Amino acid sequence: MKNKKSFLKNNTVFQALRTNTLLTIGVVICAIWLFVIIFADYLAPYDPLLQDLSLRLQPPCREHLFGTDSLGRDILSRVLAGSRISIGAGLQCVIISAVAGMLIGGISGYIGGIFDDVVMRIGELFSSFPTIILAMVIASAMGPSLFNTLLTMCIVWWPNYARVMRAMVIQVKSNEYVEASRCLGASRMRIFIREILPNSISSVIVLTTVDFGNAILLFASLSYLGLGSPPPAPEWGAMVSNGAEQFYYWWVATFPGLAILSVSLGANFIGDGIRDYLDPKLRKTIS
Amino acid sequence: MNVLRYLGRRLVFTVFLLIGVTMMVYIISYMVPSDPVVANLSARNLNNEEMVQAYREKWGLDQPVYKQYFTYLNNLLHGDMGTSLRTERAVMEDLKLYFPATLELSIFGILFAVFFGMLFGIISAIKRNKWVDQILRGVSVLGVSVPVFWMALLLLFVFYLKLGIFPGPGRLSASLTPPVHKTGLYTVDALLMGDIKVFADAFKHLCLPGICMGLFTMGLISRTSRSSLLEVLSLDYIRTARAKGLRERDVIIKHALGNSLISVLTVIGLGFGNLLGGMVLVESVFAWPGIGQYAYKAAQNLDFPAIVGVSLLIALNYVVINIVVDLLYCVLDPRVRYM
Amino acid sequence: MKKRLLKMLAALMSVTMLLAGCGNSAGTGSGSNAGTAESQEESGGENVQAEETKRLVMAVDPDYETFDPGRAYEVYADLVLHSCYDTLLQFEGGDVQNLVPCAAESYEVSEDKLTYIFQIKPGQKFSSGNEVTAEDFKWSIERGIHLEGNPSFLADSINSIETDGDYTLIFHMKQADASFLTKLTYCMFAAIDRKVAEENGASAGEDAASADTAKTWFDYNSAGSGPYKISSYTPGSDVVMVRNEYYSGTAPYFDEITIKTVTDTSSQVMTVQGGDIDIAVNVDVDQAASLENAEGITVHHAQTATFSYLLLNCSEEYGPISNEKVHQAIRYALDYEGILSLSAEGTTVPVGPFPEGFPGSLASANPAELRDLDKAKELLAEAGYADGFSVELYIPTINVLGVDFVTVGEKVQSDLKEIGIDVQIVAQDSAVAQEGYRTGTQSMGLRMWGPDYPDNGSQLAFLPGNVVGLRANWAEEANPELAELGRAAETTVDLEQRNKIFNEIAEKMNEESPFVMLMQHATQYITRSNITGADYSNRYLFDLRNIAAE
Repeated sequence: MKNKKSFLKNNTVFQALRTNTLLTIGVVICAIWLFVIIFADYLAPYDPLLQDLSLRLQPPCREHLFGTDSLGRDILSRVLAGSRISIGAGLQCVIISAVAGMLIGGISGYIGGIFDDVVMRIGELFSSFPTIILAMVIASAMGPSLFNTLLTMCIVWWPNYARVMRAMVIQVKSNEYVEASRCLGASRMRIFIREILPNSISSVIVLTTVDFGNAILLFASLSYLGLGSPPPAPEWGAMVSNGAEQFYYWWVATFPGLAILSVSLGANFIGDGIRDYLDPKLRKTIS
Repeated sequence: MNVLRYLGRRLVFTVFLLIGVTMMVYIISYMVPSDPVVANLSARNLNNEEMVQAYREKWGLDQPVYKQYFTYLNNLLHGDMGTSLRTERAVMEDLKLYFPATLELSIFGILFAVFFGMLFGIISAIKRNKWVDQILRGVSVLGVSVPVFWMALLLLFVFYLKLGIFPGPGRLSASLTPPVHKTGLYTVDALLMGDIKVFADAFKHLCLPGICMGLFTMGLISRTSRSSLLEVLSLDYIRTARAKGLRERDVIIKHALGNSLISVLTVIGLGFGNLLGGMVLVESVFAWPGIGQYAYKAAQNLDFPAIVGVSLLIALNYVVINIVVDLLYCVLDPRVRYM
Repeated sequence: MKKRLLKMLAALMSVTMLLAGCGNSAGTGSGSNAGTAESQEESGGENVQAEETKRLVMAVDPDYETFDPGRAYEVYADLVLHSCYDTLLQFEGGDVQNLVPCAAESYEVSEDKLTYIFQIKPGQKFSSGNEVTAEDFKWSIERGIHLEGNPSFLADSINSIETDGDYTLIFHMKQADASFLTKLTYCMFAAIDRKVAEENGASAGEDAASADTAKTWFDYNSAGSGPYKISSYTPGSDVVMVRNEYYSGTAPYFDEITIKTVTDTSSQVMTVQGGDIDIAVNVDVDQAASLENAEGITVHHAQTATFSYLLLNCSEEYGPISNEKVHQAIRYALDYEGILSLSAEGTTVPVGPFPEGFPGSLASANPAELRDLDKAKELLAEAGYADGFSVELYIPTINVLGVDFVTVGEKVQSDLKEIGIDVQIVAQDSAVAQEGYRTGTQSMGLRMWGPDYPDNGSQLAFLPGNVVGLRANWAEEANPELAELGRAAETTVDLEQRNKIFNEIAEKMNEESPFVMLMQHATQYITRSNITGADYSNRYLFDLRNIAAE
């Protein structure tokens, strides 16, 4: 409690928000989506699954602000309801792979030697493998489900984080102050946690926020192959790929696409903001 | 000396990686409950047990997986990647047909991404938190978060159909004959033939799909180069340089850029991987006869020889790019040892 | 150290800048480049001057990989094969009812339908200049049989082939085959230039399946007596055909035909609008609707023989869905009008597995009268499932003639919900779905079917105990009466009698079968408005010999 208060009082947070318009925009966007996720059921004007074929592909109008899709469903309601599935899946995927990748990459880079080689080669093996094939296999071997799709995405994704983390660790490791603390007799674990992790985390956060929107997109393409949440769930990515077939009915793909875009933008802006804020040296240059 | 040892070690690992990839595909082929026979024989012939048996024998599908695997490895050592079940051509020949188109597109995409990515990143870092910075960052985030097939269609719609600036899908206009096959890259082959008209046409056809492919990596690069530049700019020696009274532009170009290149390099390595991912969709929209479409069709038809072939090719690319990136690390930052 | 680095960097930058600079200049050049614009118009077929090459450009999302007439059996392969190879008989334009002679001058059929004698037109030539003889036909057909490829089954009813002189070809049949003449339009029955083919490794012997090595050559070349020959084929990109200068029949309008591979439907449409392509074949239903009034473009609609149906498993393993009353209930529960609105204009609901338009098929049902929710609920209650049940519906993620299958599945799901059946959709990649279908393990499946040849004989597969019937675990014992009718239809040669049997089967299957026919698809495609003769054919997709431009 006390911590929280002092954190709120801390000038640098507000300062960061003041100087960085994009960070503010990011926070606002994410707050709005959080609100939508919680109150989606009350906000949606229609049942997102309700079909009305007499109202197929209606352009945006007063009754249907975002228009209707090829089965006459209200796109606004589907976008709102879909926020839970898509944002949820994207978050889970990114967080799991980031944590796994950071741990593996960090340890691997720190220890170095044969261990590092083996781990990075295994990572390369996974990330050099075509995602779609891997996803199809896991789905057909274990049955299609949300969990299996997330698993596939994580399997393919952790090496990205591991690589970046490892590169940062190696760079940081050779910095003078780490050398210095090693000379001072600090233990490996201590150096890793105290010196290397905080210094590397900023790059990982940048990557995470970039990946978040991308995760939603990958999830979408997997859903489209029948590997994600089954129809008729209003999943954003599936809605976009559906709409791409009906290119001339622009609203079908545009609105869920904009939803993905806005979440991704928000996450990115916040990520950049956090990065600037977390990086102690950078803060120095601000002040 | 170090470099040679490093390369030697990488080479050994590369061999293991490739074996790993082939093994993975075979394990997959064992795990997949679907039968390649179903995907490749017509419905009529499927009902004829004799035909099915003959087909299995022909492709060695009646043998246990480990036997199939060793036969494959043995053939691979002799430079034979097997025959595709779907096209019934040698996989090697298929790859030779499809890969150059992808390579040409990827190179264009990555050059586009590196140039604009770094340009945007540098400008952003210099004009930190000014409106230019905000706009450029917005643009680069857009590049990262727009669904690629949607972007592809949009580019085609605006720049081809509405404005007519760029040509439509395909590698070359229908009225032109492709250049004599030497490298398989139309632009290079056209130049070798000295045919400027074909070169210009092929180059114009490259632009839209290339931009589409590069957009994502461009976003990544501009963001990474901005943040790493900022980081470097806060380091002591830069401050010293500033204190010495150097102009800001000189500080950035002479001192900061080199160091920040390291993290950009990592991203370029990653970006190539992402290029391959987005390829299927871009190639489909721009009717680009590349490896992505080939791989997708192979996966759909459970054409395992082709899947192994593509996976090997992609893995090999990946390794080569990463070796190059690693070597560049060392050039740029002498402190990094060959790990 | 620093200096070297700087130089490297500068070099890198200047190279990228140079390249990007090239890009800009070349890019802007194209806008004002009148030359390019003109050549695009040429390819659009407008203002063609006498000495200019008349070029037709098509965009398709093809399934072909080879153009070996003995091996190819893909839908799109006929675009090329029928243009390059002459068969004995053919269909013209979009018609698939009336066979007309092609390489044959005339033919006779024996009373017992066991012998067919064809007289071949003298003086026809292959693209190599060699003359077409009866021997070429015999050799080519025997090659097709012995290759044991996908189309080989078409020749199952042939016992032996004989020639009499250079121009007489005689088929001896194992049994009467009512569909034989229709099957002869397939390119497996076309004449291949034996000399050229053998030079490139072809063999027609008993061991052709292993001895024949001509596939590689046939992938990129043709050796037929049709009006065109393959000039180049780039897999994944395009196939180009040019005139066969030795062709003796009426020369087609176009000098050159390019069939481009464009897998994306929106992209196909855009290129037609942009004038670079004359015909786009794979057009989404709603996209076509939005183009009806577009300038310079004609939207065509045509009936096809392809249909979509629901497969309901008859094995009790799969629970309530195997109940016959449930099958009936589902038939009454669907909103056919709504389902048809998802497909192209002109789509109908067929009666039984027989497409409207084939001899012996009944006229399509009136979709507005098919739905009866009360009756459906009643039937469900009779079956003992008044409270409904839950079932998995397997759907391949494909697009059938512009209709997204998953969307159709969602519509079925919402319809069945109204009578209490809770449908769980399992969308699968088509290869995976195909496996479940083949092994008969789909509790409920959304499937599509295209007849092997344009004759109702190919539709008998849906009967109990036959190929498709067994996919639903519908054994012969389940309905011996229908199975018996099917056998009768196969061997009856008298057309009127045969058609009567088909009618009877259709009506019976509409009452009691595990197949619910959803739609017989219409298709839509777009052409530049100056293109004529681009009629959809259920046999060839398009008869490219008949297409011209104004």
